[in-house]
Amino acid sequence: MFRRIGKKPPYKKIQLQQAVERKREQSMDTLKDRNLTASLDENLQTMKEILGHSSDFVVREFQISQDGVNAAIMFIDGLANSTLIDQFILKALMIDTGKEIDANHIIQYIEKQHIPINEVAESGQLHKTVGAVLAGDTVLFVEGSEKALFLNTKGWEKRGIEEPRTESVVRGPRSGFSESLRTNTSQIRIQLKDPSLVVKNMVIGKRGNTNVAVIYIKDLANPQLIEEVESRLKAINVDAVIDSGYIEQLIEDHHWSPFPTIQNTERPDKVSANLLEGRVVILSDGSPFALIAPAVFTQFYQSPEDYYERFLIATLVRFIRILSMFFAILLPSLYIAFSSFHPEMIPSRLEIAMAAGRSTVPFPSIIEALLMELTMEILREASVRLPGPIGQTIGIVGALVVGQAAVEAGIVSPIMVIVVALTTIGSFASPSYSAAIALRMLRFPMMVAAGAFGLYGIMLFLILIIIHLCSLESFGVPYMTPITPYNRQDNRDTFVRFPLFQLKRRPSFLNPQFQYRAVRNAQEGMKDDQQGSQTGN
Amino acid sequence: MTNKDPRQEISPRQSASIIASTMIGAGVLTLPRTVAEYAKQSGWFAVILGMIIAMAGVSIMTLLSNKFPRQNIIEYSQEILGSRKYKAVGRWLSYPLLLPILGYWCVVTVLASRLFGEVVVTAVLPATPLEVIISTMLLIAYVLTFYSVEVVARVNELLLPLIVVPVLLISLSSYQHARLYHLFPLRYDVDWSDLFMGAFSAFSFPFLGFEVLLLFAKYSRHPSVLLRDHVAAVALPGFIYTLIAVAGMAVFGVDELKRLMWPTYELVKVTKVPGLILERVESAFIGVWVAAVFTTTANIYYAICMFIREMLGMKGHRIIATILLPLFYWISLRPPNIQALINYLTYSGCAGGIAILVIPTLLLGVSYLRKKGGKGAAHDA
Amino acid sequence: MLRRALRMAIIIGLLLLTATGCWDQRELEERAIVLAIGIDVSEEKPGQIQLSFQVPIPLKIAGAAGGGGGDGDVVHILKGTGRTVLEAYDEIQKQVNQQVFFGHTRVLALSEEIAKQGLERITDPFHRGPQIRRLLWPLVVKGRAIDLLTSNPELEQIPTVYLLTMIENGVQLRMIPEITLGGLYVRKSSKSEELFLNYFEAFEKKMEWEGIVVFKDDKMVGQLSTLQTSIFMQLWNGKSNFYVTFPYDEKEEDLVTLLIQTDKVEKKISREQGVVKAKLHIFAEADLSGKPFPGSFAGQEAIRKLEQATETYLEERAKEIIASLQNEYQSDIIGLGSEIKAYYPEIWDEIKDTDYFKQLDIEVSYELKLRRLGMLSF
Repeated sequence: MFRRIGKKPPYKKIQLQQAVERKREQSMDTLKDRNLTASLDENLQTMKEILGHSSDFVVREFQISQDGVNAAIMFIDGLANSTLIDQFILKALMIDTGKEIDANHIIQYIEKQHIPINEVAESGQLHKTVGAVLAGDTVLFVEGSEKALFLNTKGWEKRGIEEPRTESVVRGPRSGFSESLRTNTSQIRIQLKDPSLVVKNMVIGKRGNTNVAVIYIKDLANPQLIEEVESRLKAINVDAVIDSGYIEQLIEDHHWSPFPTIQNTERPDKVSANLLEGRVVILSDGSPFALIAPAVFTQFYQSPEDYYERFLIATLVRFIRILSMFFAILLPSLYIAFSSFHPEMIPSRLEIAMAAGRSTVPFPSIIEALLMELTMEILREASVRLPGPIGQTIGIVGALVVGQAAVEAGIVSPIMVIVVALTTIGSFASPSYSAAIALRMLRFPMMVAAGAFGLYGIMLFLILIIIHLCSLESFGVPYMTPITPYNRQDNRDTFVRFPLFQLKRRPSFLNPQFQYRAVRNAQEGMKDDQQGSQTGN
Repeated sequence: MTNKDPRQEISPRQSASIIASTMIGAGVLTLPRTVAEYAKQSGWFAVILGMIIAMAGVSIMTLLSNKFPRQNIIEYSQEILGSRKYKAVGRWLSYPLLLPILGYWCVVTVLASRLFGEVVVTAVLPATPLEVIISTMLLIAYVLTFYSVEVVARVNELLLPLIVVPVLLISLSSYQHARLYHLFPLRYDVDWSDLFMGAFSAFSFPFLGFEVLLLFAKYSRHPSVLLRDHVAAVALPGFIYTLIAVAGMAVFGVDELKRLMWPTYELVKVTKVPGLILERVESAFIGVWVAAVFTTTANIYYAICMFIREMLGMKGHRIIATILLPLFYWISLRPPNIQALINYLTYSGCAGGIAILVIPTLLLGVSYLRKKGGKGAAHDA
Repeated sequence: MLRRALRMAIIIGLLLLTATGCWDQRELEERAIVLAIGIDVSEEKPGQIQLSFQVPIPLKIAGAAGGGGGDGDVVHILKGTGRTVLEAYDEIQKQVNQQVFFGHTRVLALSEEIAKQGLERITDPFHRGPQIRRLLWPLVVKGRAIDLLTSNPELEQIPTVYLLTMIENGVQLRMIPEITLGGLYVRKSSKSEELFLNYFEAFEKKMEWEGIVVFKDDKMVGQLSTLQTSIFMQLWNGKSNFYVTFPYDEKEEDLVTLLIQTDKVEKKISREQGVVKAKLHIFAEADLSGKPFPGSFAGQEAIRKLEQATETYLEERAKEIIASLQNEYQSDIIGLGSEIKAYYPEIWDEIKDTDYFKQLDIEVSYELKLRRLGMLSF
């Protein structure tokens, strides 16, 4: 009955159309059944049909040294490193090769004795050949061989390792991920030189064929979690993974929720720490943002800096962050509720001053608040687009100037400007951009609720948010763990941050294979060693 | 998010939270007066006695649930009263026995929302229509019925400290206006029958709510430790209620207390939180109290839906919830004025209190006699 | 999936429907904030009550955006008359373009006339109304209550704030007894203690605290001076700080001043030969504040002599107060009835329906210790 309302075509019809289209498409899938032949000319012909339309597709025919065997290499100019091709393929094959070789075994011979390239593969399948060329390898065809040799010559321009732009810390490593998958995995490897660290590759995206790496520590992460992540990745379908955000949106548990259930980060140290707790990380080629699954709510106001500083500072800073989160979502609504519905809550003198301030304002306080908040959001979006220092300045100065001018024009009251400023600053204090956005967006409906029912409305909406939060799960983990279901051990690291040597266990909700971390401070260590030597070892 | 997911589990702490937060609800506001009517200035002692009665009730129910782990009361009462051959006998015998509980729950949900609405209309939002306030509260409770038992448990676990801490703080700071002599003489003009009447009246409205465990205990992960947690869960509201009763009496004295409609609210109005930004804390208290009433209403609403679902053998309870919503709304508007409302509450509270104590005891007794069910504590997940 | 979305939409729609009203929303500047209420007998319409409200004018208050530094009155007085308080309030509301708001009312001023006529018909609407704070200060004003509202000492922008800080200061210093509206309700409904209220006199540029006013049942029957009030506070709950000046050694010109700080009063009730006896023993400490005549107080003997002189003086004053309370006013504002009721319920049972206060045998004794002589050594 409900389906007639939207008049969307029923799902079966969509499936049919998709199948029809699939047949006509010329993506990689259609090449799956074809193989190479032993004839060099035929292979060249096939490849030119498929890729010859692009000018950066290079075909170099040559003869292998003194044998005079015909061969050809193909690569994409720009993806393949020319130096490697010249020095280690062409030179090696054209100049340095000696002896007579049997045509049948020539590929293996070359592979084993004549090509000083570190990564080689061979295949007779067409789609793999095309895939290799598009990935930046150089493909070697030899007359008489049904298989082609793929030589790793990947080398293209990439951005170097820079400081992550969205997550700066005062103390801690300053390198961030870049767009190259191998560079990113290398940064993680530098921090975790553990043989159990697994980097599994998957290719996702029908047209993008993006390399996606699933990373975890084999004997820490829960096997069920690993399997869940991998099966979800296998199950999704997308044209191309241009950024890891695509993957996030396709594998997440609750797409309707404003709250993210998968974390993203640009920082390798955050990734390493999460891997050590037993989480699974997804890196996709071309995106500096790594995905961390599962994610719970408490992670969104925790920053890696919390662990590099000493525990008292870290705890206090966390409290400030939590406070600012509350400001970000509640402050404007509280202002509306107090000034329109419950003025008896405000101290008498302040109330008279506020009434005086508001006497020139033509709007009710809810409109005033909505107006100012919307303006702040616009300013913020604008400042993101503007380059460098100009953007920052516009953001802050713009807000102040606009606020002051609005007050003097009699459009808003002075208290409103303070409220808006505190709210905005409060939302900046959250280390996770995705979660901060959720709170920012939620304050608008809360303002409406406050405008309708005052404090009662705020409470109702807050209860609705709490119900929603409690119903979320991320890869099987309840979102509000460890606040609820309460776990005393895990709570050593939620609001407060207990000293490092007391955080002895990994988060239990991840069900890691080994519960205890290796952590021990010097005092405990020396005492243990002493006792060890006393009891005689 | 299905309702019958077999893997749903509640931890003991969550089970205790459900009990405690269901108990702390609309009854908080009138408590000091209702006990003072019977026990005069020793009303607070009646509260303690009421708590003991509630603990007894909870213990009986927990023992009963422990004997039949992974079953709710509908299921095991059939087993207790029925015979294995004819399932129908069990059903026919047990349903009439359980219906009073169901009826009491419906009445309480409805009247509690109405009471809540009355307070809000009188003291917080005078111009807002009562219907709107009641319907919004019922709507939010309705929303909770969409989710699984685990979500209900988590919501309760999260909200409980948010409710308890402010209430404790406020009731403690109201002691600055307390006058000790209002609490005396202790026993002179009050005899035990007065105290018990007071205890029972305390038990009937403010203390009831723990019986939802009859339905929620089915999902408990560790039935064996439940007794300790459940009794503690009753002790928490008991402690808070006692504090409030003492505070109310000490600040106002018997005569004034009897005149006040919502003594706890007045207590909050007298509280001065020195130096803080908020001069009057009563709106903050109302905010917290909204959460308290919500947990009461939503939990019992959920329990009713589970109850009816079990009785009718349905798979999901969304339809039940949707039908009940307008029904509850309509019933809540029946009492013509506030005095009538309080009368209805008192009667239904009495009837409910008796039902809650008698019926599980009956079932427990019969189950021992007929040797039904497991050993209780020995049964674990 | 679609079904769930639809259901959500219904709920949100219903919720939004309810939001279309925002019935209770009222902006700050749309409310007339009443800071002080005054109740008088109406002069134009005898037998009726005149209600007056002190309302600030926000624009005139310094600190407002683009305004302020008032010339002219910062507050405005609204008046209305009616047979009851609520009728008079109704009349005032008809005059004002904003909704009258009592959430910030701090002072309730009653004229002597009204107080003498009885409070019962005044306090009920305040008790019933949700907006009125129990922490508000009720006062009795000598003459007309409205004079207290119009008086402007000009030390604060808003006169009510001046009055308020004066009272709160006094309470903190333990010079003014703390009797709020809540205390008024409690005492009025209690059968074992009587009501008293602070007494003020208002002039054009001055407000003065004059002690307390004594009530019997709900009617005003008399008053106590400031010194008498301080001593009454000692009898009441033992918390009282005040200066006492009296002639030393029977020389009228030698007036010594001591600062008395009271900490405790012990009340002992007993029954002897059919008469209920109340013994009040007050513990106090004193500092010597002023001795404008030669003579030394160094040495334990001199100190002891001064202590005894002070004790005698205070005891005499206390006896005077008790005499007037018992005989003239017959009003138990000290709260001895409550004391008996709480701790000696058998005695209370016997006397509660009688005029017990008059028949009590009350003894007052002091124990004073002179601790310091200020900054001088003798």
